[in-house]
Amino acid sequence: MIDPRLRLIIGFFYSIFVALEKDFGFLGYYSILPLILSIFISDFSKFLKGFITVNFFIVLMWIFLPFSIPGKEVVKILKLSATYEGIRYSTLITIKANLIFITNFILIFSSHPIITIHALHHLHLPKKLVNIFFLSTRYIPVIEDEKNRLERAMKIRCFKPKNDIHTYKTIGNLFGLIVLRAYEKSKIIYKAMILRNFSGIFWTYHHFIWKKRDTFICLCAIIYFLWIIYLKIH
Amino acid sequence: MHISEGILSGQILGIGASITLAGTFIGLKDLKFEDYPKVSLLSSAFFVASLIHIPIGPTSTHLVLNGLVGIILGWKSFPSILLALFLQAILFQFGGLTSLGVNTANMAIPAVISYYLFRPFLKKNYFFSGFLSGFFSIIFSCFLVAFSLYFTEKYFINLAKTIFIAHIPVSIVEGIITGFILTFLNKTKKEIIWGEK
Repeated sequence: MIDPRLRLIIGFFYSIFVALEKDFGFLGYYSILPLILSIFISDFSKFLKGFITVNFFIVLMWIFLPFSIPGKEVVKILKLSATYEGIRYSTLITIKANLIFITNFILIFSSHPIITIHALHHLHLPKKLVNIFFLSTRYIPVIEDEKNRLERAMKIRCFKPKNDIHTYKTIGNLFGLIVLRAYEKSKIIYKAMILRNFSGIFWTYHHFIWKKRDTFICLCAIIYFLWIIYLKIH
Repeated sequence: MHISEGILSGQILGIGASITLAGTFIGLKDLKFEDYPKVSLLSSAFFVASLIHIPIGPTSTHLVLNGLVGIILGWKSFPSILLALFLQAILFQFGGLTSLGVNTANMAIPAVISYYLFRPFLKKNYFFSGFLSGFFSIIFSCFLVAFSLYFTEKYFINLAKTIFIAHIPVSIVEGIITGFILTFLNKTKKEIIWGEK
């Protein structure tokens, strides 16, 4: 696997490049990276799930945008006319969003969040922020278990969510209890941290090792981005 | 309410990222060592809250609770919301990495405002102040989302209006639930809201 730090940097720069692109002609050059990377998709069900989520907002946009932008009429649906300019703009956004999604899915989203946060630490994000990220990500499954346990208890007592004030009060109390448990757990964690002489660094077993292959990929990425900048200038 | 990648213009992305950067800096500045576990665990709890679905009319929505986050954490809601949205982006692909700054600013600005606006009145009536903070935060977040879309491309106005109107019932339910949560916390553990003396 490529070094997570490098993956994060490539994904970040690629996203910014594509997000700021306004020219249709360049999208062909941008699709080279996701096309190469798409060989490495291993978890197809997760990919499909993410693909649907990303395109949900896009579909919402397609309902409105082609009919809102004035220009040359292409099709007419129920007195509303879709314009060439509207369809062109919507297509541009759709392609951009999906290019960024595919690249980031393979580079960043497919690895465990802890690895990504560890990489953020090496990229010199503020220590306090990384510490909060680490602790919080570590305890999300614990709090989620707590939530599932409480929800099971509600189900056993025949709770069925409806559109009434009783449901909202029960959910309010459920979440209040989750916050309460989280707070009490945080007190215990604080004591444990003092006990272990916590000095502001979370030590990990796994360390990133920069290999020759990473240098090669890094060079390729730099050449790729420089090539696109060159094409943009000319 | 998460804006996907590739939609917003460079200026809006830049402004959102700068606001988030500044807010996170202020939030982290007075964060002491002993606050780490509290802020982290509350952030985990708020992330888990977004997994709870509540029925509204024929559909259902997930809890956002940025009003509650604001009232409890104040400026620290910037790093807390940043974390939640970052994880939602990398785990479930809600929103994205380039729009992370804008999305965080859209959620965290109302949170910080409700800290200053509604926390002083909390002791008078927990439920009512909670309701107002929950209601206001969602409405204001929607306004900011609509604002970011509109300033990217003024033809987004119809989409922006629809998002805004669709969230009015959500904000009322969110307000009611925030009110009940604050009443519950007041009865069981006041220190979570007011800090330990």
